[in-house]
Amino acid sequence: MIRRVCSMVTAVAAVAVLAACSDSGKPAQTAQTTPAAPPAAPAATKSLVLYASHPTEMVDFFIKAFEKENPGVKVELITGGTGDLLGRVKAEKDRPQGDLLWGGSSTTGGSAPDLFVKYDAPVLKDISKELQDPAGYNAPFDAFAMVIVYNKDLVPEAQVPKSWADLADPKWKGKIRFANPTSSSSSYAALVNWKLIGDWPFIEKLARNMIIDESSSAPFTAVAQGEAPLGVAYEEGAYRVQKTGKVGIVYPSDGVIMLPGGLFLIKGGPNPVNAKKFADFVLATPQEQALVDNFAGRRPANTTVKFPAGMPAAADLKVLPYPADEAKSQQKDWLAKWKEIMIATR
Amino acid sequence: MTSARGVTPAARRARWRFDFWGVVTVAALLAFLVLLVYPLAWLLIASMTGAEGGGAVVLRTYTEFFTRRYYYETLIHSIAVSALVTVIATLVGAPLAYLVARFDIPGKLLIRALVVLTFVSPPFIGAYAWILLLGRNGVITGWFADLGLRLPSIYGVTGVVLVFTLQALPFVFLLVSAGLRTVDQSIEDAAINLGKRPAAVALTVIAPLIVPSLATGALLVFVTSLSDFGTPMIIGENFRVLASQIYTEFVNEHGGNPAVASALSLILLVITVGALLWQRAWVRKRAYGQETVRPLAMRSLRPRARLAATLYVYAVVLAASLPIVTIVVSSFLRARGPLITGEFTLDGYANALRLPHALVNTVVLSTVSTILCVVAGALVGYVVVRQRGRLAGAIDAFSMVPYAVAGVVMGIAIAVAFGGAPFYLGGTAAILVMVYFIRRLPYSIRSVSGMLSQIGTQVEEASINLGVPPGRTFWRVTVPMLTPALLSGALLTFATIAREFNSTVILYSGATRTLPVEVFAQVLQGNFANASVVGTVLIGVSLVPIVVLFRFMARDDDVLV
Repeated sequence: MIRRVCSMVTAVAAVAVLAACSDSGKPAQTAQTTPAAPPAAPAATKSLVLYASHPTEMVDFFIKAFEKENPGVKVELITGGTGDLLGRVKAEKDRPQGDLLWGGSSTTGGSAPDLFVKYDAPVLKDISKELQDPAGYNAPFDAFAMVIVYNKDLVPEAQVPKSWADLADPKWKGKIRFANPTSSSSSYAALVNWKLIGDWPFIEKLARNMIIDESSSAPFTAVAQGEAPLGVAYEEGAYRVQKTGKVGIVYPSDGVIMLPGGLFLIKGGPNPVNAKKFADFVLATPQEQALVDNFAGRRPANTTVKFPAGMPAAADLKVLPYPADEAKSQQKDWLAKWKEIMIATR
Repeated sequence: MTSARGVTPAARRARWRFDFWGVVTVAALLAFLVLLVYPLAWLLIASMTGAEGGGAVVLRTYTEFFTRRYYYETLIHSIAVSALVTVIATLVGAPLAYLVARFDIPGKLLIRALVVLTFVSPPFIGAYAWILLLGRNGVITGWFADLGLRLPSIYGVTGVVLVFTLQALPFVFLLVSAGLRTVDQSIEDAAINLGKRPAAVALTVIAPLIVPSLATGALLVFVTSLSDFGTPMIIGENFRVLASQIYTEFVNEHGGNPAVASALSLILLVITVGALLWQRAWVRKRAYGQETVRPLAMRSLRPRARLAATLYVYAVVLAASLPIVTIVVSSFLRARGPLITGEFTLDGYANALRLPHALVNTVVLSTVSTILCVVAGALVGYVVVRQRGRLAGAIDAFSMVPYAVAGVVMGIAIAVAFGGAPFYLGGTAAILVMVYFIRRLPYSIRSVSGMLSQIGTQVEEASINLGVPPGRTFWRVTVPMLTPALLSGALLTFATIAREFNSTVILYSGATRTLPVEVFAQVLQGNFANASVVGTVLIGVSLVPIVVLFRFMARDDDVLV
């Protein structure tokens, strides 16, 4: 009997050792799970872990420029949807693996201030005042409006909607693609946009005509492919598919909101110095100018930059002030309300 | 205690068993506890402890689910669609298998090859292929439009049912084919001698005999359809199902809601477990023990009947494999933004930036998981067969896992159990290997134990009597005898893991992105051309082992099920 117990114990021990071995390749996993408070002057490191949901071409462009300017620093890029990446930051909260979250909007990081540190830098004086994060977390790199895209083959010139209100016309029932605000932060911005215009009754009228997607790029892609006549899109996506020649863009006359794109410094990340450096770098005039010159549909946040041709400046549009605080604090309730409307209108 | 009690008599005879097989037994139980029981327990805990509200919210997620249409509607949709698909796939697939198995349909090799091809394609690939074909701007839609005909929309519940059904056909086909091989010709002869017409014999005599295979096929179809969220997300438009709701609750740009996702997962788990138990009870009353001496003979049909049968078989099989053809073809076409043109190009492959990374990830993760599965499967399978009593209860429960725990549910469970504190495995290769291992191990165990029951024990006993220690006997004597079974099991496991999507997409991160995840991401972003390129590579990766299996190991397609 004792022998049997012994062999059992040995077996368990063996398994435990195996399990321990399989973990040894990972970075030191100390008993202390919460990272110590960052020291007053964090040491410079040789790498930067960037979580980015933007199209890879743009991200790679700035990574290359950054590495060139900072020899010896290697940027490790982790891509994914904004949601995936935010989820990851959240999951790693007690032991952060990333330094920067680049993607989504100012509300993406704003919705979880416990995960990020505030950003402050001299370069902010060049950044458009409207785009600065009142809470001080976001490093506003660019901005985008939510716009209407239409397929030129499917929507005759005379019928092209001019405003959000035009989208509420019953003739568009089942013809408008819209990403679900419960999973897309840019769509949530559109929801807030409509709320400013006509509150919930207006949203309900719009919802009646919508086909709901679960990815924020699905609507403009479907419009470009001729799968749908109309869609609600974030600006950069709209310009991306405009290149197909099939897609027209409408800045609704009843008002758009300008939402700052998100760039957040992850709290307790392994390379805080480089994270800050990267944010300073991309916000500065040369990089913002490169953004405008190389990537259509990107709206620079830096006011010293020559504005892109073929894109209306904010001054030429009816821009509604984005109620950032309310949009953040009410997000849960507003999304719950949206779910009800969405179901009632299916 | 279970294992100790079972082993006592054996232990009296031969004490050595503890040394090696004791370790195996304990390790197997431990793996079972750690990788299955623990995560499912966590699922339950997570579903009751939301991020906000603390302990007060125990059942709130559930109350909300069953009182708000936004949620319970998805459950109704899921059950309705899965049941419908199960019925249609069985009604279409069983005759298909019967016709191919019994009659002189031309080109059987091609038919079987196409079925296998469909079988190995990743779950949601049909969805976007059908959009390319039958979408509002699809190829076939265009042809009909030129003729002045407007096809009904493929989007919504129609498309979901179509795609699910075509994906389900190989399951039904392969299982019914396997079932038919166990029916003895004498039964048919007897029925015909008693005055039954052949057609009636198929329905009233042969069909009841293959009920267990049919029911297994039906269960697989039902569970697979319940679990697949890629398809409804791509082609469902406003049609939401439970699995897609689980995914969007878990992964979204507002950070996700693990509590709700866990609760929904548990609801899905209850349904699949319920379906499994019901199916088992139902089959138990209808299973006949049969001894097959002479398998059912092949028969000739009269020309007209033969033509009709051939048309039916080819129509169904071609429809089922059309998506794959579409994907492979469109991977060689030039894309203008999200639009696919008619121009041939290899640029898609040359420019697929993240393809090599995803390919390497897929191959490495699948290989590692396969090796673990095969080794563990061999050891545990051996314990189950050769050391009766040990592990029996646990293994029996365990063998139901693939049927009872949908991929998305397993993914969420593993994510809530190991993703965060104190393990921090979220997004790592380790967590993916864990989920692949636990999902695939039951098959490995089953294939080894099946093989071992056929080989006698004499050789092993002789080896031990000659003084070779049992551990070495296993490696030197048993394993070589098992090698063919292990190798074919490995190939099959590799092919299955390479295309595993539902659990991967819950657990992956940028660094561990696999081919199926990459296809899905491209489809959701609307880059159908890129998706086709990655999809074609994925089809290749999961097809190679199957081709090796058939071609070089002379296996038949019944090893697939």
